[in-house]
Amino acid sequence: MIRIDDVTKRYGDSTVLDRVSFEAPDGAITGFVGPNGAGKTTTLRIAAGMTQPSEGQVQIGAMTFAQAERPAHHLGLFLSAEGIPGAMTARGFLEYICDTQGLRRTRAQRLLHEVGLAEVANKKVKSFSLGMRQRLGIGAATVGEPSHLILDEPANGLDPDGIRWFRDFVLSAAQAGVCVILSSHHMRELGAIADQVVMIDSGRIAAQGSIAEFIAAEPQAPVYVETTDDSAAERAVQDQGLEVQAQQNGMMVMGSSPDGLAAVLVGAGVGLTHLTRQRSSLEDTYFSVLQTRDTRH
Amino acid sequence: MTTTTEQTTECSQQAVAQSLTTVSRAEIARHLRRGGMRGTLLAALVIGTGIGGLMLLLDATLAESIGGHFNVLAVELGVGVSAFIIALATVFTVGRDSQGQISLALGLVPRRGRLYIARAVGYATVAAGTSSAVALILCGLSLLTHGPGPTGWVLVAVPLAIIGSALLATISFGLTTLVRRSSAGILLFIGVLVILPMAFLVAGMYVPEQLRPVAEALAMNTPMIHVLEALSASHLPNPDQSGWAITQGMLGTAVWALGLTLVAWPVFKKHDA
Repeated sequence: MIRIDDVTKRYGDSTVLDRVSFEAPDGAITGFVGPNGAGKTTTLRIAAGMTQPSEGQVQIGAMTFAQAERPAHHLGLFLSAEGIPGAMTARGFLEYICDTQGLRRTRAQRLLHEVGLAEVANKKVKSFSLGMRQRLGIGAATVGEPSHLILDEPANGLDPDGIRWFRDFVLSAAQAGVCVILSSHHMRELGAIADQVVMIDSGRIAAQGSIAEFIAAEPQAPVYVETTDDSAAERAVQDQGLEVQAQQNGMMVMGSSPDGLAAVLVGAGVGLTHLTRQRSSLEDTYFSVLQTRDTRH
Repeated sequence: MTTTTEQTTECSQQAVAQSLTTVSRAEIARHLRRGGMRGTLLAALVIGTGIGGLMLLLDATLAESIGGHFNVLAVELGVGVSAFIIALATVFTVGRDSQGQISLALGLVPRRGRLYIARAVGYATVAAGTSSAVALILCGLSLLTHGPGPTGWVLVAVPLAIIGSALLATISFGLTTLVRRSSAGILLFIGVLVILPMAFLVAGMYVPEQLRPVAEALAMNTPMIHVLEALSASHLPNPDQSGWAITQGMLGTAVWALGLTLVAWPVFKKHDA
């Protein structure tokens, strides 16, 4: 479990984080979202002990990160691919990490293979593409087989293969009981893998809850239906005074429950092949929360 | 990329509690790797050995070799040159570290005090190692060119090289940690080592007579003067000079190194990476 407790960060007169508190449980992926400059990276850097909070504290498991006897086993970090020193080689970078943790360097060699960088192991990181740096950085975060993971924008620059590899990696880590905090702008990807979401805006927590709460269907959400006879179905629905929007393979019906719509269509002798209530996406909720805050301001 | 039970077990078995020794060794290894200080250390070794070796060879070709005192001077010069090259390289590397390396290291070594000391130890160790290698090579060359006669005095240069260059690198580390940037570090390094003693000496010429000893004392206690004294193995064969000057130089350099490292610590402690 990672617990961020009333963390505030000020730079001079400017408050970039204002009493930020949330908890990321073990064995789950906590999505951490917010617009650029909202305070995501500062929060994660404070959690990793790289930046000192003005107030508040962060617990990683039962202790602060500074108290960990085996740091890389306690917390794996990926905060920025740009932060990997460009003058180091990929091998040198991973070996340095192994050295600081008292781990055998053979682990670095294995990781180079796992992240697909074995062939460029002796090249300097500054010659790498963003995707290669991302892979190296994510690999580095796992050197100590950590029980907690903090990943900031890890999917940036990854190709589709890389994204799938990354998705499998975080899902299996969470299944193995690892506490994962994942900051990302890829809402669709995050919506597919996160168990809970924390949203930050202007240095404050704007919303937090389970992914189910974030993408819950609203009672008046439209119902999408595909039928065996679209024209008969459209007539039957319009006869009931319901609004219909034709779609490529079906239609969207507003103002009805799925049960009610099914009864109308079956009553009209139309066969149903697909029927579902449209749910809001994480992206919809994200923009909705931001909009609400903008309106309040 | 997924975590396997086998890997976890292997990792758990291998991992040991992190200590100052572990991190210091990692820092030393980092400097010796490609992309670290390896090239500069090699350059310091070659240039230091080259200058000292050239002096020894020139002396050996003279009809009446000076030998003795001159041999020690040659070793001293070679060590001094390599020590200053490494000190400058330390300034550059510490400044470069501020852009990414510190952030990386803090994520791996969350105890800042441990990381700070390990970093200082890392720079001091590679400086000591390189300068002592220069001294040893020149000792061997002295033995080859001049026979075993002056070897005793020449060998004194080895421990002086180890301690002196380690302390000089620590001064560079402290100064650059204070300002975080290579460019500012170089200016500060030149300011403290070169301009400061000159400034005190020049000031001594303009202050009232009774204050001149103070200005002179200040000039003589600047790091550059102490370092030069600390590395002066050539004082020893000269009966007019004693080993006390070397000891004083070592103590003075150590005070500066320790003082600057302590002054720079709060800056590192509050560093937001």
